Amino acid sequence: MLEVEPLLINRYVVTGKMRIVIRPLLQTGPHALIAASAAECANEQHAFIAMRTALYENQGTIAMADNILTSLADIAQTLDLDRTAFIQCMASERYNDALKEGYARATKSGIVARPVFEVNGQRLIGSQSFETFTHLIDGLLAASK
Amino acid sequence: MHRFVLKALWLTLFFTITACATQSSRVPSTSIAPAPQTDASSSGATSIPPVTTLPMSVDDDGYHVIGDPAAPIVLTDYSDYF
Repeated sequence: MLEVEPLLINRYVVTGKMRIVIRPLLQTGPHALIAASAAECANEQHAFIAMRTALYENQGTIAMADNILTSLADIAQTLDLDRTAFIQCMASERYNDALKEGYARATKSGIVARPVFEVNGQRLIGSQSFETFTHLIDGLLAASK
Repeated sequence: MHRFVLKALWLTLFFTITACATQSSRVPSTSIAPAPQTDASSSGATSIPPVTTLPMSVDDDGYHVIGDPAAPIVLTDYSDYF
């Protein structure tokens, strides 16, 4: 999604035609929960998108880190976030329940793979090309006129 | 003999460096693209255009939303970070 998302944003979100709802999954276990929490903690400092992007771009580094929390705090610092506040937020685990609930809801609705996309309810399973998205979205926009 | 070899080596080194310097000076400066300037705060978002200027909100279920909450198309992205 990271490759296609900027293109979709430029074409549809910037123009007010589309919004993107981000629903984090926890299919890869504890690391996924920690990473999703990192995005939420970054959001407290108005950096949700920056952290989300950084998480995708640093997947390998984070996964291989001896201490994932330190690795995430390092990333937070490179994003100019308050490292201490970020660490305190992560230590509190205050988003864990909500993230687990969201994941349970997604699973209950049949999301068992990743990534999965829904465009106005039409489900697409697996990574999709920009052309696949535009074909579907343009069709929906044309139909709504 | 030893001194001669040493002198020859120095001369070779001198001409090599001179040749390289001459060669590089022939390269038009316009052909050297400056490295893109990025700062730490934006390094994580270099592949995403001005997302930070887009509306951000949280929907009724508590999920983050990028873009106009009233936009007619809703793309829901289910994924994790690994």
